[in-house]
Amino acid sequence: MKNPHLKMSSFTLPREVLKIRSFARLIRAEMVLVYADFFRRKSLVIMYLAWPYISAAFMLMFGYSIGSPQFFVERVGVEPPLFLMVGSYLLFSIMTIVDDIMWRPIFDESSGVLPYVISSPTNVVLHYVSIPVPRFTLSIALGAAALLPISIVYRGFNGLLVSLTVVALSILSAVVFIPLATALGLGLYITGGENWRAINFLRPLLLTMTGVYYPRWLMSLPLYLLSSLLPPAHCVEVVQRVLAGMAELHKITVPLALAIALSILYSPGMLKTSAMWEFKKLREGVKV
Amino acid sequence: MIAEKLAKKFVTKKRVGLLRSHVEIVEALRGVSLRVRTGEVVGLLGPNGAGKTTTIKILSTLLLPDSGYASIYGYDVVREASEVRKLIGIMLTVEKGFYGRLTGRENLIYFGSLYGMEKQELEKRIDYLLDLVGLKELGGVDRLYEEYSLGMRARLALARALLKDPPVLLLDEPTLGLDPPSARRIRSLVRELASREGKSILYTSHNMFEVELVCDRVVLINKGVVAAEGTPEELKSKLPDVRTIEVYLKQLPEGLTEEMRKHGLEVREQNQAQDGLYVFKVLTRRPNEVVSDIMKLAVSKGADIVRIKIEEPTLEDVFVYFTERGVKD
Repeated sequence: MKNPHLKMSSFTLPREVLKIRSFARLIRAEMVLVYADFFRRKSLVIMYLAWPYISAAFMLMFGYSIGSPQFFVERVGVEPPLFLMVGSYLLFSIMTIVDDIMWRPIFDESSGVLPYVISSPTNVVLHYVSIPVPRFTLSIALGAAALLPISIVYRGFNGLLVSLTVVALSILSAVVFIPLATALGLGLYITGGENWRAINFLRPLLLTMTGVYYPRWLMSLPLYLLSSLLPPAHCVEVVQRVLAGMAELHKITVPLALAIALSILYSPGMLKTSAMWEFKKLREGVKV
Repeated sequence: MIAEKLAKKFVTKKRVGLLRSHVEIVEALRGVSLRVRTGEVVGLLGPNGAGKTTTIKILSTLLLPDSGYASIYGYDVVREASEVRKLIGIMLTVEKGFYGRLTGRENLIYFGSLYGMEKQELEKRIDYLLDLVGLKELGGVDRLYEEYSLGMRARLALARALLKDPPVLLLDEPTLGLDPPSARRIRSLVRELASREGKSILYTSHNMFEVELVCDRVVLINKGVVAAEGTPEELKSKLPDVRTIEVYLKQLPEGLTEEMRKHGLEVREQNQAQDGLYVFKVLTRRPNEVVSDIMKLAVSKGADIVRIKIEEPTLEDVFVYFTERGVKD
């Protein structure tokens, strides 16, 4: 017999989501968590700052060994080091944020924190939306470390503007990715249980599809259409157009509008999966 | 806090071979009812798998019951979970439940923010609580949680449960594995919180001594049903009136125990005590009459009685009796 108490009403998004103060409190909590961990682990800071360089260097070595830089410039319109450095930065900025959201339920469960998070008066969706916010500030720092030097080398003073634009768009990429990443992550947990292997499979697929290392306008039509479903792919395209000097107004505004529209479109999915995930947890019992 | 006829079944799938799976249904709760009044500490006792943690999880809005009703301050734990969550403080485990790379204080800031507390209020409260649970004196305030001892972890867990000063506390084995000073600190705090601050506390433990010390009332559950409930004294009085009399002698005259058995006394465990005395036990429903019979018989056999001890039943006896019986009295 169905339990008469089992209604979804208590799991829907409350008005509190719209309250700035409660959201600010959650961001404060996440700031404490992210920064305390980040600055206590020197290896993490070094890895964080070095990763775009290492990744770009690897791609450059691979590229130079199989092709000509001149051909790359002719085809893409951007110098390979600058393009790959920007690509690595975008990838890393988006990846850390997506990881934060997707791994959090598993991490919280294994560390025994989840029961205290769920039994707090905080709404689950609000909590998940607040998780990546501290990473945005780290993205700015990473942008200064990874993008600024190379942009100034290749573009002079304009490099500063290019860097600022890329940092701003990387943050937007991450923000518009939150609804889809949350929906996919929690959706996976609902159907397959808390399984990090599934996340490990999904993550590179999503990130490759955003087109950070391959200009979207050069993609084949099926791949282009598929990647169009990912909101950050449109932001990545704008970044690449800015770098290639193809930034006509409509070629910037349309993709950005699309990214935001897709993000809004995926939001109900995020709300629904969050509610379903919480409901599943409560039905099975939150593990202690 | 009220729970009425709570029932919960867990369905687990076990893989049998490559394609087949076997469904197993475990009835964790089969109609548990209990009540905790304001300012009262109620002990929830039961053997492993009796349903204690399931009950605590339902009351702390972490598990949905299949049927039954539970409320805290009038709020339904299922329909009004968000209201209930504002009123409860929970401590579900001692050894984990915090972020290892944060200090004790940072962890409390994190959870306080999650509980919707304002910065100034939160900082004051954290200072007060760290002092209250004794983490300041142990130097645990700014130490990383992953470096904490079990005792410090338990204290921090209690501090978190008290962060928003909730009127209801749900504590699941809060002293499990703790050293005596930490366990004593937790026990005395729980007692104080109920008597001075009027908090309603549901407390589970396997330590009968502790339950007797801390709890005003005890609810004993076994196999998902309430087996007995009442104050520790009431529960002891429910036991069949059998007492154990221990008789200590300097030497054991030949034929004394046989003589006692002939007089209808139930003599058990005849052996030598550590201090060189001989000891035997007599089970009886009439301890006062039997003591005088024992003395008369012992004197007639020339025995030198050193001491006679009548053992009162303990809460452990109650626990064993009711869990073995498995039915509500």
